[in-house]
Amino acid sequence: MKKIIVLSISAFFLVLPIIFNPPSGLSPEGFKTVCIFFTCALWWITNVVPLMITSVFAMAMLSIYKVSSPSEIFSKFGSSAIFFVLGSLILASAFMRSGLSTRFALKMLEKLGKSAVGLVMGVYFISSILSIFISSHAVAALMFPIVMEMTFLLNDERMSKTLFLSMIWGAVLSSSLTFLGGARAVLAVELMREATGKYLSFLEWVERAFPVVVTELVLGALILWYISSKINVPIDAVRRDVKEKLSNMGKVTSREKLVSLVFALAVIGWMIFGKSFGLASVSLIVVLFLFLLNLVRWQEVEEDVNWGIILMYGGAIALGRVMNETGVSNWIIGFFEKFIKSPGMFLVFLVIIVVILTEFMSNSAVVAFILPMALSAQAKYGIPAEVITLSVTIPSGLALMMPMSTPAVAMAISSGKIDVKDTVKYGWILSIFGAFLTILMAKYVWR
Amino acid sequence: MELVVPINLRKDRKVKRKIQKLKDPVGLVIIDPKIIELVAQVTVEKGWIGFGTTEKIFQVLLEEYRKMAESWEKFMEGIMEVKIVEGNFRKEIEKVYEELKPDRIYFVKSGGFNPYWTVVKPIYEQMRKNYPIEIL
Repeated sequence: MKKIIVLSISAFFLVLPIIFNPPSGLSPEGFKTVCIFFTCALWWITNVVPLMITSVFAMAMLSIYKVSSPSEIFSKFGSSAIFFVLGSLILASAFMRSGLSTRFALKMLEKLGKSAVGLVMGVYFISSILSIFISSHAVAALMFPIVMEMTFLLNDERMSKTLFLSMIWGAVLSSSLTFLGGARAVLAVELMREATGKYLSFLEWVERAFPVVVTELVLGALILWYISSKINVPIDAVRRDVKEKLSNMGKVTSREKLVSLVFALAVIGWMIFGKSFGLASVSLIVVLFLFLLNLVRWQEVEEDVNWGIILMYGGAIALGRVMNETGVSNWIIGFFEKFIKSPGMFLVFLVIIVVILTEFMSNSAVVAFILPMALSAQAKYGIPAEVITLSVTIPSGLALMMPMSTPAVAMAISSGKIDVKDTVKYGWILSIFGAFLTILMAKYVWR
Repeated sequence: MELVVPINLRKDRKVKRKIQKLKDPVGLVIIDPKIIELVAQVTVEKGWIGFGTTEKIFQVLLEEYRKMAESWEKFMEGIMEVKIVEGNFRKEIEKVYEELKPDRIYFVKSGGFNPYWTVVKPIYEQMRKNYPIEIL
């Protein structure tokens, strides 16, 4: 039923530019683009088809409606952002397949998990550190079986909920710090470059995201400490299990050592050479080394990487570019100008919209949906493109409460150990605080 | 006699109270690996996780579902007898229906995000055309 309603509304949108003249201020190409854009937004929100298929649909429709030439549109698959993301996902695959990520997690649990508070903080700390370097979805997938096993051994409802909260918060909050934890940052920077020619390097992004992310992590730690300090549950079974798992892993293998070396070199490479050679180039050289040194097999990469990301990002970048070229972004922002007079108000409005939307749709889809429009506000409100990009992307990572927002929350809830009312109970504090911090940074620091 | 089929095995007291009001309930917990595989896919669909990782999540959820089945059986102690089977969801219900000929079949589920229900719902829609099934 939902599908029928969504497709009917979509058909209505798509037929509009065929039947009617464009509204004032919009060219015929712009009218077609805005109808395609709103159809895609509707599909991204309702998930009527997978995200990447919506992007593919956008590209097809832009071509069919002759908004832009097919060669222009499909060339977006060659975007450097996509290759950087692919490279980082392949590197993450090697990192996880080598066992390094599991060993790190278990080692930290062994060191920190000496009490209920220690276990909770341990899971939080591990998830947040890993999420700086690999996709938060992969971190959640890695920590999920570890946390499940812990909840089974502890057999305590409050402890189970708290452990899952620490997994979600650690994985999600950290993911905005670098380009590696959340591929949406790369998409955002690419959309900004397409629209304005401006760019933020790996280090520049980290510098700007650091205060918000670290403050949020500290707040999350305080809340988790507050909850877990009231829990008194014997943890010996968990400690024995962690020790046993570590012992079963044996000594650190040469594969693990080499993968950690390649990983470290990759991060250094992105920081130092990212701007001059391009992040994607560094990524692809790293991938080459992974295969030359037999640190990963193609079959493993095929299984670990969701190749749909190429389609999603290619389509989103193409759509963003066309929205800019046809003046659609300017036209949409023009509506808001009537109600939102000041740059400050615009930033507040933008961040609030993003924080709400990101609870109900994928973070990347929020960036793809909101950022192209928001970037045209830089001229109207005098807000630098970098500030707008950060103000959309960082809060889009505050998906902490609803299962449709991010796999970390969905996985936790599907375990049956935690419910939406648990994720909402404390998650709203972090969301609101994160939004507030973003607005402060946008107004006083990032400019 | 009523056949009670839980969908997501949460220890929901509201669900328990509803079952208590039935005349002569008998519980049937079905562990269908295919359904759990689809649940794993639903869970990660908004992310960028590859099918290999999804497979690992499926294994974790399957193991967890087996433990939850035993836990749910204990939760229903004193209210009804619960049989735990592993197999095709639809076929197991049809088999038990032929054996026991219950007056009604009730699917029970807790509210909120329920990926198990997302996966089972189409089966329910199909089956209710031929069997006296409803949601409790």
